[in-house]
Amino acid sequence: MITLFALAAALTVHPAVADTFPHARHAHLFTNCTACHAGILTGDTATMLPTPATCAPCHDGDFQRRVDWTPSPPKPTNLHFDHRAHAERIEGQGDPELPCMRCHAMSDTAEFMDIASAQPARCITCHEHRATAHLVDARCTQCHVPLPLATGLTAQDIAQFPTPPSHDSGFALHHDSLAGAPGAMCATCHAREFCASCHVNAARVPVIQALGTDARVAELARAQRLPYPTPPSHAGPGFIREHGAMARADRGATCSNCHARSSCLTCHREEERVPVVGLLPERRRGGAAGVDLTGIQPPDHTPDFARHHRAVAAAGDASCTHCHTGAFCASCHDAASAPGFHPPDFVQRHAQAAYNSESECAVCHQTEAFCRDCHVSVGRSRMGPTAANYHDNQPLWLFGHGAVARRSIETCASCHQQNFCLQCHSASGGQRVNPHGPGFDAATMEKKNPSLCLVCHVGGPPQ
Amino acid sequence: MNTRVALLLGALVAAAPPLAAQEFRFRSTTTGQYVQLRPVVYDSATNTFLSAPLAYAAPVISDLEISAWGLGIQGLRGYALLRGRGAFGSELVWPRSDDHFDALYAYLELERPSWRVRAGRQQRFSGLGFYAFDGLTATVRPASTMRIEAYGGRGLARGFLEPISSPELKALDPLTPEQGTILLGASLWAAPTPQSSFTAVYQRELLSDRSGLASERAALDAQVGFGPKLYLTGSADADLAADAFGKMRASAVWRLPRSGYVEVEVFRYRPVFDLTTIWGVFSPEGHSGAGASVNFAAAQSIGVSAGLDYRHYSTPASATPFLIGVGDNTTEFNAGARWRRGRMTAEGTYTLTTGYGGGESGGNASLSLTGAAGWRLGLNGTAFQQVDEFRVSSGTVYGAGFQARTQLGGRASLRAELNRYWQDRSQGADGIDWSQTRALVALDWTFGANADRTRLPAVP
Repeated sequence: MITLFALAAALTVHPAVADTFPHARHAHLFTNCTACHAGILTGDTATMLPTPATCAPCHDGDFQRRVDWTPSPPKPTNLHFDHRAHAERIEGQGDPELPCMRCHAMSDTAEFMDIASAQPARCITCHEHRATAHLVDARCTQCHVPLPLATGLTAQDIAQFPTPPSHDSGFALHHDSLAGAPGAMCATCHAREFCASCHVNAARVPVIQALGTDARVAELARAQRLPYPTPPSHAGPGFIREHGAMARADRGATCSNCHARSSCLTCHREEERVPVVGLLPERRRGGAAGVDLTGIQPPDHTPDFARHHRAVAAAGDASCTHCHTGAFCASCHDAASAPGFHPPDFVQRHAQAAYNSESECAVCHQTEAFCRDCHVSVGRSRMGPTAANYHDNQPLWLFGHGAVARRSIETCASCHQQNFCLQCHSASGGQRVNPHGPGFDAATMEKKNPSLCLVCHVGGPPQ
Repeated sequence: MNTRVALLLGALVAAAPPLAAQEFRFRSTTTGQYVQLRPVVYDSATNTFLSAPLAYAAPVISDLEISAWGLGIQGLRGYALLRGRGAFGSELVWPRSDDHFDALYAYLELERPSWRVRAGRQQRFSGLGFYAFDGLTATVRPASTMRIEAYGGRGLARGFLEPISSPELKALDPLTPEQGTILLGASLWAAPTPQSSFTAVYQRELLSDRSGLASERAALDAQVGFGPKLYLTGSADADLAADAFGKMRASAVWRLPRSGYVEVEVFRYRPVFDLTTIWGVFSPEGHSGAGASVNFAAAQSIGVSAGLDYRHYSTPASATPFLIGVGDNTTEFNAGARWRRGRMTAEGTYTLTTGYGGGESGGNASLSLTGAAGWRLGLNGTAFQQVDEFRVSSGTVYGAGFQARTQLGGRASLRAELNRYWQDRSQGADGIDWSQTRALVALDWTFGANADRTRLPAVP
C-alpha cells in the first residue's frame, strides 16, 4: 500500500522553483518585467530570459563586475498555460502596471520584483472553480494537460509529482468511485499503464481504456511492482467459504481487478473447469502480475492442523478437494506409497504403536495384504501348529493370551489367519473354546450377518 | 476392473484431442526404496527363533495422476490416480510389490455450481476412514454452507482396492467371503456459522447376495471456533452392526502467538471389524485416555513442544486361570525443540513410553539446510531403546542418515534419503535383528496445463 502511494505521489506536479536571480536587489532599476523578459508576451523564446548582453550596460567590468550565463531553456511542464493570454486578461482586469506580480509575487504584500515561480495556490484564487487547495479540490484539467500530452516531462519528472491528500492509505480500495465519476481527472497524472500494473483486467475496464498510453509511466510501473491491498471483505472468518458465491455473483468481475486466473488455480488446482475460474483473465506478459497466492493457506491451516485436520477432512469434498487431489491425501494415507508419513525408523518402532492402538492401522493398511504379508516374509508370522515360545518366550502364552488378544486383536490378525484361531475357538471343532466376551449379543450378530455365525456354528449354535 | 479402467482412460484420451479446449495435467511420482531386513527362522531343534542372514527388498512404486478437462462439456473432468508397483531383484517380497497395477481413482465428474455427479472408482474419506468403491456419487449444494451427498457402488476391501471376494484376498485368508459387497452411504455437511461446521455420515455395506451386512457405521464430526484463539473439535463413530460405539475424541485448542498452541483432548478407541471376519466376535476391548500438548515459541528462533498422553485399557475379561499379566495403562511423554536461523534448522525430540505393550525411550536429532532454489540437505540421528511385551525384538537401536532434495526446473524435483541402523539386541542371537540400511530415491514430475503454476516466475 505504501508503495502504491509512493508511486502515486510520483505521478503528480513540480515543487516551486527557487528564484535564482536576485530580483529584489534590482527592483530600483526596473519599472516593468518585460525589459528583461520581452519574449513572455510575444512568445519569442529567445527573449523570454535576458542574456549577458542585457546586463552589460551596468555589469561592464568597471561599474559592476561582469556577469555571464547561458539562459536555461524553458522548463518542461504539463500545463496548458499561455503567458500572453494571462497577461492580456490581467491587464483587462485593471492592473496594467504589474500584471506579472499577480502570479509571481512571493505574497500578497510583496514589493515589486519580490517574486518566485508561480504557485498553484495563486492560480486557484482566480479561476472559476475557486478550489480551496491545489491538490484537494482543484479541477486539474483547468491548468493541466493529460499526461501523455506533456511530452516534455521525463519519467523522473513524473515520479516527483506530489500526492493528493485524497490518495491516502485506503485510496486503492475506493478509488473506483473517483475514477469512474464524470470528469475524472486521473489522466492528469496517470496513464493506462499505471492502472494496468495492478488491474489484471485492465483491458476489460472502460475507464482504464479511456486513459492514454505513456511509455514513461510504463517504465515507472515496470520498475516498481505494487503490493495489493486486502479488501475488508477478505478478512471475515467466512470469506474462504463464501468467496465462491461472491465471485459468481458478478461473474468474477470484481475479483479480476486484482486476481488473474492463476490466483484461483494456486488453490483450486483441480478446478480449471469451474466456470467462474475460467472467466478470470490470464496473466499477460508485461501486464499486472495479479495477487500471488503462492503459499497462502486457509486460516484454519495452522501449524497444529496436521494433528487436527480430521474434523475438516471428515467433510470430504466439502472442503479439501477444492485444493487437494486424491493424490495429496494418498501421499500420507496410502500405505504402500507413503514413505514420508511414518519416520524412516518406524519399521522398528511400529510394534509398540500398533499394540496399544495409537492409531488405527487398518484405515490405511489392509491387514492380510500388508501387515501379514510382511510378517510372513520376514518369518515373524507362523501359520503352523501353535507354538508357545514366540511371544517373548512366555511359557503359558497359549493358555493366557486371551487378555492381550481381546485388547489388541488387530495385532493378532497381523500375523495369524482366522483359521489359526479357529483351531481352538470353534464350536464345531478343535478345542471348542468360547471366544465371546461378556455381553456378546449373538442374536444381533446373527441378525446382521448369519453367515458369520456359520463359520464356527455350522448346524446351529452350541447347546 | 483394471482392464476396464485402462479402456475407460484410453477412450477418454482418444476422444479428447479433437476438442479445442481440452487440457490435461499429468503428475508422476516414482519412488524406489532399498530396504534391508534380517528375517527370523524357527529352529525346531532348539524351539527358538534365530536371525537369518541379511536380505533386502527393492520395491519401486510409480504413481501417475491424470486430470483432464475441457472435454466439450463445461464442468466435465476426468481424473485418475494410477499406481504401478514392482521390485528389482528383491530377496524379500515387499508387501503388494507382486500386484503390479492399481487404480486408486478413475472417475468422470460433472460439476455445476449447485451439484456434482461423479462416476467411477472413488475413495471416500470421512469420519469412518477411507472407503473405496466403484460407483456413483451425487452431491447437492443447496447453499454454500450445506452439502448433501449420496454414494453407492461395488465395495472394495479397505487398503486393497479389490472386492473382498477377490482371488488375491482369498489366497491370503481362506475364510474371506465368497460374495462381494455393495457400499451405500449418505453424508450431510453444514456450517451453521463461519467458525463452525459438522459432518454426519451413515454408511452400510451389504453382502452382494443380500444375505447380510458386512458393516453398518455412522460418524459425526464437528468443530467450532470461539474467536481467533479457541477451537473445539469432536468426533464419534458408531459400529451399528455390533451395536457399539467406536472411536470418540474431543479436543480444545488454544492458539498462542507465533503459531504456538495448547491442546487438551480426551479420547476413546475401540476397533471396528467388518462382519466378514471373525475378529469382532472375540469381543475386542478398547481404551480411553487423555492428552495434553503444547507448542510455543520460546524465543525468536526457538520453538519448544511437549506432550503427555495417558491411556487406560479395560480390564480384560477372560476365564482362563493362566491369564498373562498385563498392565492397564500406557503413558507417553514427548518433548522437542526446534531452532531455526535463516536457512538452517536444528531439531531434537525425545519420547518415553511406558506401560501396556512395552516401553520405549529414545530421541531423534536432525539438522537441515534449505536453499532458495528449493534444495534441501539434512542430517539425522536416532537412538532408542525398546522393551517389548509379548514379542522378541527388544534392544537398543542407533541410527544415522541424510536426506537431500533438489528442484529440477519448475516442474520436477528429486529427493533421496539414506539411513543406517544398528541394533544391539538384548536377547543375544534370538529375535529379530533390525540392523539395516534403508535408502529412498523419489522423482516428482508434473507436466501439462499449469504444471508450474505455483512456481511462476515474476512477469517482467
